[in-house]
Amino acid sequence: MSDKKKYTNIGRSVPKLDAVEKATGKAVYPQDTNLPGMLYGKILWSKHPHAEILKVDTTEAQKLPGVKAVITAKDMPPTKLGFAQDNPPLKGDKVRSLRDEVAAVAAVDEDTAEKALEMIKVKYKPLPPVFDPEEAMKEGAPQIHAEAKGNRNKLHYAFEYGDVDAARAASDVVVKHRFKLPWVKHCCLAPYSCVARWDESGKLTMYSPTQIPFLYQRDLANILQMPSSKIRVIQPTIGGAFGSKLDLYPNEVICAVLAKKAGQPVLLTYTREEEFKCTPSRQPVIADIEMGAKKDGTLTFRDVFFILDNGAYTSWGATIPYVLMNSVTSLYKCQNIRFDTAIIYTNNMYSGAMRGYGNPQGTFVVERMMDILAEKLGLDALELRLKNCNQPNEVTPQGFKVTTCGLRECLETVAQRLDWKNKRNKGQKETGTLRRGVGLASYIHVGGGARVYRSDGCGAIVKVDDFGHVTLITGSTEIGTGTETVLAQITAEELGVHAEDVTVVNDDSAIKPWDVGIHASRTTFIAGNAAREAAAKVKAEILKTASELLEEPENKLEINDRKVYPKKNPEKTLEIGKVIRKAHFRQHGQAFMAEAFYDPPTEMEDEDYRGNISVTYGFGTQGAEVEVDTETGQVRVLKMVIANDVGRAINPMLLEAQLEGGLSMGVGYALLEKLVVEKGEVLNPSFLDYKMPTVKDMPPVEIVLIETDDPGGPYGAKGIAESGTIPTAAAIGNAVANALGLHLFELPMQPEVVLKAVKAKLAKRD
Amino acid sequence: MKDFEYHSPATLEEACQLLKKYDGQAKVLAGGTDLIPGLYRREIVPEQVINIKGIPSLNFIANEESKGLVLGSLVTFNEIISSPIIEEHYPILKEVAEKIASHQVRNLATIGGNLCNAAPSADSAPILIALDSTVALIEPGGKERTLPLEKFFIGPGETALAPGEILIQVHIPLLKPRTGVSYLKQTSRQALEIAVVGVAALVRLEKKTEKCSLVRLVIGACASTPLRIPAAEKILVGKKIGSQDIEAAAKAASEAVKPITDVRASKLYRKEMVRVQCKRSLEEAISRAKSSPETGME
Repeated sequence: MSDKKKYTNIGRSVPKLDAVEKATGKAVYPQDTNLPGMLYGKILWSKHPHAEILKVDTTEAQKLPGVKAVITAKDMPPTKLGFAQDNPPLKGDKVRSLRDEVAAVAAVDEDTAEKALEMIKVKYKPLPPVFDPEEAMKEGAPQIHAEAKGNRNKLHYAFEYGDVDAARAASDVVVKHRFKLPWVKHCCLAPYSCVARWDESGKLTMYSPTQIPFLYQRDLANILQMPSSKIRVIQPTIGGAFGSKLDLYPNEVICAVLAKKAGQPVLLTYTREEEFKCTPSRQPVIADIEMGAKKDGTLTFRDVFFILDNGAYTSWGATIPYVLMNSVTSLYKCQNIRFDTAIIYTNNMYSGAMRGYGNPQGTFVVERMMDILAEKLGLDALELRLKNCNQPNEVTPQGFKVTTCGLRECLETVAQRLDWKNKRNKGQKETGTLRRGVGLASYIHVGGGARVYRSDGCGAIVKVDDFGHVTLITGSTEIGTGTETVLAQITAEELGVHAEDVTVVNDDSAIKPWDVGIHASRTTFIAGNAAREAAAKVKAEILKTASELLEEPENKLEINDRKVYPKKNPEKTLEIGKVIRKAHFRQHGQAFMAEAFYDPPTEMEDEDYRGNISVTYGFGTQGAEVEVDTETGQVRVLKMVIANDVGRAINPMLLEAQLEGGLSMGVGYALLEKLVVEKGEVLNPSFLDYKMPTVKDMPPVEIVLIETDDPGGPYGAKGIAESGTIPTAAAIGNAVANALGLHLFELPMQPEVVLKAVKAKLAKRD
Repeated sequence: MKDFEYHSPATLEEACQLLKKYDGQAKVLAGGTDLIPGLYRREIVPEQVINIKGIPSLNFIANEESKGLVLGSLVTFNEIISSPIIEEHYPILKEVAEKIASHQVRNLATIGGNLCNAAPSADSAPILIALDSTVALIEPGGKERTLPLEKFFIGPGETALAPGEILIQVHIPLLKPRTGVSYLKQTSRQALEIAVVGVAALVRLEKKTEKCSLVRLVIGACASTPLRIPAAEKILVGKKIGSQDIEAAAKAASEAVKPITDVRASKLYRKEMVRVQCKRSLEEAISRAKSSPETGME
């Protein structure tokens, strides 16, 4: 507590700088763009989940008044998109899912564009489709990509550590189960929208909600076969991302090609239905997991095989085992690990990145199994976790060097707040219709950046103007998480001004320095360190000038509350603005501006998936108390507790809000959310039938912030953005199991599923 | 959204004439909470849209001695929630309205629209049938007729409205003494929901003997229309209801309904939930009947 007091901006709940703009509807999202002569784009989606395209006839559509451009695969460069380069932006010879792009139109308004789509005639030759990854793996299954034998994606993630077979033989208890997890959706408030504009010199400006402006710039240049220097990326206000804008997708390429062909700017916005059907989703997984322990609870081994439904094309969804394996290898101490995957092409829509990047799936499986293991051992589930708890300064099997680690405190705090001792196992002894139970689950996740690309860096430029106002130009992006506000606080703290004095510029690739992207809970940590470093450089320059004016050595001066003063004589103050003006308005004057590029001292994982990819790791525990109606199968969450090792809370209000937001996604994952996909078609593409929790479904949430003051973080902070979502479903799953005395192996735990299990248990007892 | 012709009649007569003229091609716009999303999704593609919100005589709440409560068809669910008359004399209507959609939707959605849209899951229908409500319809020329609400629904989206007819009022008789009502709506979420199963029950008990003299049990979302269950009612009438009777009636209801499997629930689950929610709804109605006032109109 004592060191908190010395800060003016750190630890202060500054309201989001953009909150009023957003709340009053004045913020400008991509869909609000209105450029002179702007047209409206629409995409024609496939009618078949798997078919050859024999002919696309656009003659009639082109004749419709108001139509300015119609494009098909013939108008596209021969390049393909995605990490595996298997996704042509418009499909020419074959469609592999119902969300495949076949043609696109730009017209003077949306209605005309839609009319034109109806006039495009496509001749297909349907091919037998396959939707179940296990079916797709079988010999003789329809082949989705000619080059992918057995529909196996060439990406393959396998990890081994210790001797699993020997450890299994030496275990006193072994448990083995299969889990199945569903497709779920990000549910961004703003559906995907982008605008493309070409100028007369052949430069392209994209107004895009992308999370990765610089990689996007490069990827778009590659696919359009033009220099990336000719592409400018402007990021208007972004209405949510959660990983959904982490890749370059066909819609952005189509938008650019339509605009070029029409010679006019084009806006391409998805409807909510398209958002549900056509943007990548969190991938469903089938997990076979086996875990063992000694009688005393010492974990002996984990042997895990994950089957991932990749869908028809490869976006980041295929790479999630990279993070998914973290929970398997590193959550609680276990010295013998085998992890393997099969990433399978199907004729479903393709999967992508989503908050937690595989960790919600991995954590669900591992943490549910920890409870099952404890039950088999006859040990308390909390004790089992404490016995194998991660600790400061340990190195995990993947080579993660844990620095600070507050996991033990998180576990103990949650148990105490749940009244674990009195409430655990109580529900199973009850006889009424309603049964209560408590459960908990923890997570480990990168908390100090994640070196998944050659650089994990971010640039920052800090400028102080002649009135003492500060501008931070950061490479990072604001996707609604509050990064602007947190970065303003860090910059202000370093400079001795107030967060409200800082303007953050973060929306234009032509201005801002490079950043790898907003993902992996990295922005507060990485962009924060960059901003702090740049601010420190400017501060040194200000002190140099102030030293002349105050006739005191620089190291004897302090800046606070917008004023410079000698440490010994705080009454003798000088406004920062005055110092700057003095330097501006003299012969051989000086501007106050500095840059920094922070790239953390981490390693990329080697080909065996070993390496310290993050400066520090985030830990936390969530606890749930639930009540299950045994006649209807309905689960009500009565209370949730979160205890998180946050390093240091820069802005407690935003931090808690982000944890709560994450938790609401976790509650949805646990109980409500599921894309119902049948024969490749999404049957519930609306908020009416895709059940995101409403505010009324959210239980009271108690949050305890555990500050371990991480030595690598800006003012001790760790990244926490994804963590709210990661252990929620496991905690609720464990609580439901505790209430009913039975285990469920699927998500979401919808009433029908729960009721079936309850009845099966009753039938067994009779 | 496809193009359509838009009309905004100022009188009922004008509206009826338009509806008759464009029979089969026109949609009536009241609150618009079903129509507008349907237009956007192109699930509803009318050639004519007739906005009746400009007609002044359709938006009122009155308590009349002969008819009981009279609701103009343009009364919104939030107007029902905030009406002092309803709160005092028909609190069940407020209770049901609060279970519908969200505050924003209730600001727009109308009682007439909810009934005329004739979704099998419409929340207002089961309770209004249980309360023995009637609807008043008007045709071109100004001739009115009334119809028990129970007879108004024909199938999903289909009603007894003749070409040119408009639903203008709903009449709800005042609850008699020793009568209890209940509406239970089973959903996945706490708000913004369509019923997986909706059960309305009305139970009247005799003075002193506490024997059941009247039951109406109406189920929503489990057939092509809201469904009254005479087989279940028969089990209860004339008896001093015990828990076994309730179980038997709930079971009869579960057997009588004809639900479908869709993304919200399976047929089997719906049947089972009809049993559970009928039991709970009947229990609640009986308990309310026992604690309702003894005096009042017989």
